[in-house]
Order: sequence, then C-alpha cells, then structure tokens
Amino acid sequence: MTVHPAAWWVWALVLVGAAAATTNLLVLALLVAVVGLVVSVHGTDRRRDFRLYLVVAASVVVLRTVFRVVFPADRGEPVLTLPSVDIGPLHLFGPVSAEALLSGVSGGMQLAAMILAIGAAHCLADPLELLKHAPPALAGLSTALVIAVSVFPQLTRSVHDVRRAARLRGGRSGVRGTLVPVLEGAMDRSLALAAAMEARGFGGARGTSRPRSQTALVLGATVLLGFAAYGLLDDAWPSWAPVAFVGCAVLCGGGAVVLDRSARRTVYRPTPWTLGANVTVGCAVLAALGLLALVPADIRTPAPDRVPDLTWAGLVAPIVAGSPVLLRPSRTVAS
Amino acid sequence: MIELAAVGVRHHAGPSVLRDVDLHVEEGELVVVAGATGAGKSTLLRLLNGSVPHSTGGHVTGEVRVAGRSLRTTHPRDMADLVGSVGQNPAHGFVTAYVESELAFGMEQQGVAPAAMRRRVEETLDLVGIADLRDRRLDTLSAGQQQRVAVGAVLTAGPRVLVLDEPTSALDPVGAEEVLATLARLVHDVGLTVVLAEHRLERVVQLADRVVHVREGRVTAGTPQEILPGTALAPPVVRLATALGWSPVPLSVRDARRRAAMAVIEPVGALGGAPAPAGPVLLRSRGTSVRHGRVDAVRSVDLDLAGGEVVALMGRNGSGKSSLLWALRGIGPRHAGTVDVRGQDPRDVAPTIARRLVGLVPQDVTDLLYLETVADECATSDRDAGVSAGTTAALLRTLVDDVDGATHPRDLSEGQRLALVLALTLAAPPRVLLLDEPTRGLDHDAKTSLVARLRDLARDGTAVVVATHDVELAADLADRVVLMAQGEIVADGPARAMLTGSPGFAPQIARIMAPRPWMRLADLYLGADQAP
Repeated sequence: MTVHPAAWWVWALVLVGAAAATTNLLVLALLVAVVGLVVSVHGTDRRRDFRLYLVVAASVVVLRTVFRVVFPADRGEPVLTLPSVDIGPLHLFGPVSAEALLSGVSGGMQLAAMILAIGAAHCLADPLELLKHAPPALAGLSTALVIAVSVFPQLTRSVHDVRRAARLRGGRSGVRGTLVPVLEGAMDRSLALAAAMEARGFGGARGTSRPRSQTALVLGATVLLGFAAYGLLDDAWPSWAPVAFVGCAVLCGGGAVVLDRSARRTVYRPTPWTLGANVTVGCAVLAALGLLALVPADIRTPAPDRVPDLTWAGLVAPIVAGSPVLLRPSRTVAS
Repeated sequence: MIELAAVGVRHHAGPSVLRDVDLHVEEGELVVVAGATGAGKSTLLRLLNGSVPHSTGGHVTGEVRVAGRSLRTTHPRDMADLVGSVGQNPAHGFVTAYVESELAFGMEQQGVAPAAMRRRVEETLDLVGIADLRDRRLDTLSAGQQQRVAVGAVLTAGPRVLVLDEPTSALDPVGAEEVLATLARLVHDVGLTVVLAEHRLERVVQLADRVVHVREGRVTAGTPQEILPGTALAPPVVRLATALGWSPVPLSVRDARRRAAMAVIEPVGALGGAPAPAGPVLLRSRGTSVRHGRVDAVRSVDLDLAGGEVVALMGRNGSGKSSLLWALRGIGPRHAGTVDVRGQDPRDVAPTIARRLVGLVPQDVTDLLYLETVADECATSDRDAGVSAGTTAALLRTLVDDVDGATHPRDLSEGQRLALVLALTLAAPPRVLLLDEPTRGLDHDAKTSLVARLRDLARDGTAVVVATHDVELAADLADRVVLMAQGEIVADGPARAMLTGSPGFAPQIARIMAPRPWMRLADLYLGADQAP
C-alpha cells in the first residue's frame, strides 16, 4: 500500500512533538527503535541516507554527554572525580555526578529522536514528491524548490571538477580560480535550464493568469514563515509569537488557494490518500496523545537523579507509533 | 512546415550572424544543418522555436513562420505544442530526478488533464524506446539514454517539429546509433519534421533528406549529393566517391560497398607508411584501480606508453577512460596500483614537477580558465610553470594563428579555447600528454590542425594519449588503439588491426573496404590527384 508522502511527514512531525514532550530515556529509546524499524520496512531507495542521520544522532548523544563531563555542574553525588583544570574563569573536569551524566544522555537522546524522525520522513517520502502535491496556488514556489533541490548537487560536483582541474596548472589559483569557473558554469547551466523549460512550455500564456493579490498572499505567507522560524530560535521573542506567525501564514496560504481560479497545473500520477495514510497519521497522533495524557508527568520527565521508570502507557505509546510497520510496503523504485 | 524569408540576425552593434536566409522545409523532412563552428548553426536552430530573439536578444529581420505561426510575435513557451527543441547537453535541461516525472513535467505545467497526461507519457515511452528506463533516476542514465529521455520530454507536448543541437556529439558510436535510429523512426513512422545540427556528418548523412550548409552567415540548402562534395564537411564516403568520380554519390556504407565491388581500387604502397618506431617506455602503469563509491571505474589496468606513439583510448561512455586518465595524471583517485614516469610517481611529487611528467587536457576545458583575457591566462601560466615570460603566448601562436590577447577566453571558438588550454598544458613540456575527448564541438578544420599538432608532439618524443569516441579521428591520428570496457582494457593493438577488425569502432572507409585493411583515404591510390 503506497502511503501518501504528506502522511509520512505528518507522522514524523507528530513524533518530533512527542519526543519534545519527554526526557524519559526508556520512552525515547523505544521511539528511536520504532522509527528505525519503520524506515527499514518502508524506506525507499534513499534508505541509505538514513545512515547519515544515525551518525549525526549518535554524535549528538556523545557530545552532550562529553559536555557534562568537561563542564561539570556542582550538584548531585559524584560517581567519578577527575582532576580539575582552571583556565581563566572556566572550571573544567572535576567531580562528575550520575545525575549530570543521566541528564546529558537523556537530553542527547531527545534531540537524537527528533533528528531521526525527520531523517525517517526524508527516507520514507521524497521531498520532491511532497512538493508535487502542493496546491496549484503555490505552484510557482514548489517548482522553484524542486529545481533548487535538483540543481544543487550539480553545483557541488562542479566545485569538485573545477578544483581538480585547477591542480592541473600546478600553480595556486586561489578562491578566484575556483569561484569564477564554478559561477560561469552555474550561469551557463541555468540559462540552458531556462531555455529547456521555456521550450517545454513552462509559463505559457495559454490559460488565465493568476491574480496579483494571490501572488502577494503567497509572498506574505513565505515572509511570515521566515519570521516564525526566527522567533523560534530567538529567546527574546515571546513564546506565542512563532505560533501566531505560523497561524497567519496558514491563513495567507489558505487565502491564496481560495483565490486561485486558474488551476492550470495538474499532477501526473498523484499518490492517492489511502487508508494506509489515515492509519499512519492516526497512529502517530494516538501515540502522542497517549504519551501526554496517560503517562504521569514524573514518568514522562523524571527527576534527573532517578533511573527512569516506565508505565504501561509509556511502553505502549511508542509501539502504537510504529504500527505502520504492519502496512504492506510499497514497491521500491529501482536505483 | 518551416518558412524562412529574407531572414537576418544581428546582435546589437555587432556583425550579422545570419544574412539573407531563405529556407523552406516540407513536413516530414529530416534536415541536417552543417557548417564550421561559429558559422551560425545554433542561431539558425534557435530561430525555429523563437529563442532568438525572445530569449537571447538580438535583432531579427525578415519573416520566420512555423506551420503558419509567426515567430516574431510568439514566445518559445507558446511554441512548445509545435516545436520541440533539445539543447546541446540534455542533462543541463533536466528539471526533475526521475525519467517518468521528467516526461510529465511540461504537461503538468500546462495543466493537461491527468488521464491524457498518463496516456501521452506511455505513448512517448514506447515511441522513443525508453519504456524499460521509466523508473530510473536521470543521473544514473548513460549519455545516449539521457539524450533519448530529453527527446521524449519535448515530445509529450505533441510538437510537429523537432529541433536538436548536436544530439550525438557526446555519445559513443553505439549510443549515437540508438539516438539516430529513434529520430529516423520519428520521421518515418510519425511524420515529424526534424532539424538537427551536427559536425560528424558521417553519422547522419544517410538519414538526411536535405543538408543546409551555413557558411559565414549565409545558407545553401539542397540534397546531400548537391551540397557536400568538395566541401570541408564531406564525410569520408563522399570524399571517396568524389575522388573516384562516382555518380550519383553514395551516402551510406551499403551503397558505397556496391560501387566499390565494381571498381578496381588499389592501396598505396606500404599502407600509409609503417608507424614510427616507438621510443623508450615513458609511463608504466601496473594494477591501477579506481573506485567511485561501490563502482569499480578502473580495474587493475596495466599500460605502457612509449615516447613517440599516439594512443587512442576508446570505449563506451562510462567505461572508465576519464577515470584512468585522471589516475595516470596523479590527481584523480587511485585506490591501488603504481604509476611510474621515468622513476617518479606523478601523485607523489610536487605539482610543478608532476606537470612536467604528465599533462592532461580535461574534457571541459573551461574549468581551467578564470581570467578576463587570453594574455592574462598566458602570463599566469608562465608563472605557474616557472618558465620565462612569453613562453605560453609564443606556444599559443604556433597552435592557432591570430588570437587577440585582449579577448575574453569565453569568446574564443571551441578550437581556439582548446588550443589555449593545450598551450597552458605544454608551457612546461610534459613527457606524457593525455587528452580527454578533445574533439567535442570541433569542426573539420580545427580537428585537422589538432591532428597535425599532436603528430608533431609525438615526433618530438612525447607519448600522446587521446580518449575519444570519434573513430575517424582515431583512424587519422593513432598508432595504437586501447579499448576499455567496464574499467578493464579488453583489447590493445596497432590502430589498423583494431579499427578494421571491430564493427562498432570501424571508420567509414574500413566498412566500405572490409575485409581489406584500409581505413583512410590516404591508404588508397586514387589516381593522379590524391584526395583533398
């Protein structure tokens, strides 16, 4: 059963939310295992990319733990005392408490679970496939993104080729020797791409043109999303600001979709929204709700000095999130 | 179908690119546009879908009509349903990542109904013979497959005219034949009108209904028999027929073989002279292996290159030729094996010494050039090579006449640019010179002058290796042919034995004269006046 790419992304984003709500090491470990299992069953030919996400996730856990050892907090019972080093105002090493180690590991695990959930979405559903299903009103935006994603790998290859060629001359060509041919090559390629797209009827005038207000709304939504992302990372902004910005962006996008009467763009072989997609989204939502509602707060975010404990709900919720494993995997595209 | 009346094209304040062009193409014709580089072939092709003047600018006089639609007022994007146009490097025009979505892209943008879209994609997959590739990623395809996908991608819009700019220039002989067979089918079975530009006429001339010769902005059109004899464009079969006075001039190997069976043709004495005695071995490669990810690009290659010999390195696209050249140069990856150039490994010595051991002219020569003028490039090259000022510029003058030092390297013709990079490479003369596909985009004259320069270098004791798909070039240039497949050397021997012995890599004369081992016009005694 082919699951709609959007369903996988919703599934992954809900799991990111669930991971953000808990620091319980056992629950997080279960979530990570479940995500890995789903990828191994349903992954497409980009399943190999998941390894990269695994490496990043593992290094996040290691880094967070090492930080707790290098920069110790002065609380808890020390389990290990390292000779301390003072560099100016910095106190390095010294006593390491079990509490610090545990909070380092669980904090790292939480980030790792989020990274792996996003990585899983990337391996389960091609982002390009997802963009294809964007509403016609956002067609310009999604086409631009599709091209950017497809063209970017060419740019890295071009940098490699030019640097290799520069070594043929034996001398030092420096930044300029790389930058000029790469940019010239990119310029040539984008002109060739534009010519090819135009020759294939891209942006043809047959059909109605889109209203200007709609273009403005799409632009507005994009800008609002930018603000929201900034607000999320800047502590000085109130915590409701990103939510409000996202809300406005959704309204703008919705307005653009309603205004779009041209509906010129069609989708070739769209993936249907099947029962499998409902199951996938449902499982994730159920698991997240279960985790929030049925697991007591002291289990979900245990005090840092306690070895984490589990309840039945805490055990079952991640397993529910993994139930898309039971769906029959779709045909994988030959690479 | 296509009507050009008194058409002229000029760029602002520049000279005319095309002048007084009158051309009439009937529906269902296959027309080949030929001419030297810079003669205006590409401009002529771009007129046909409106890229000139709408995308590139410039000033057009006269009238261009395709199926009654005037191109002075219609933009290329509104011509997609009438004219499908494929650029020189199809990979640069790909928008998506998979074959099937690439075919559908244009129709998605135009809002074709999903059911119609599905049907047209299926039809096109069969029409261009790529049904077995439908789920493949575009970047995993060979160059010939990419070319056919690009043709398919413009065909889904349902055009009646197909315009292609050098569709086979980057392809190996087999890939080129696949693409041309597809085009022949589109003309004969579907009734499409095809206009294509090509340098290697020997590949396409037997398919052509007419040839349009573009010479310094003016065109002459006619049947291949009317246009080709006596010009620099003529493929070997036409040259042979002209030299022997055959009439009508045969265009295909089959027709020429029938004529040859009736004629008495004698070889010149000792078959073009025995190859020059090879000098000492300059480069010795043992067990050279290159891996790209999980793919073995080059597998344990043993190769000796002797001073004074010219070696043609041949094989399919992706058979490991480029990887081998870069590994021998000591810059590309080499995962196993040794390369020994007179006791030194070019990978392990300083760059300035390595370039005196092995020189490499890469496939895309523009990667090397980054300054504003030819004179600057030459001066920098003198410093890089550690030679006295003016050496590179002097070298460049011996390779091509009259290149203005103030010219921007991008404004040079393909042949001049190749000469510039060759001069940069030879500024500190290497013992071994490697060239990767040097004749791509070169016209007949530029190719002839390159052959002469490389033969001179070999005579002075350099070992020269040319990786090429061009069998006519190999026949004219090489003493020895090395054939690669799947990263291994599958055959290695004297050029004559290798080229006349394999049907895939035989030049035209060899095919006509088989089983006799003659492969060049110079091999044949053609009466008192020898072939041009």
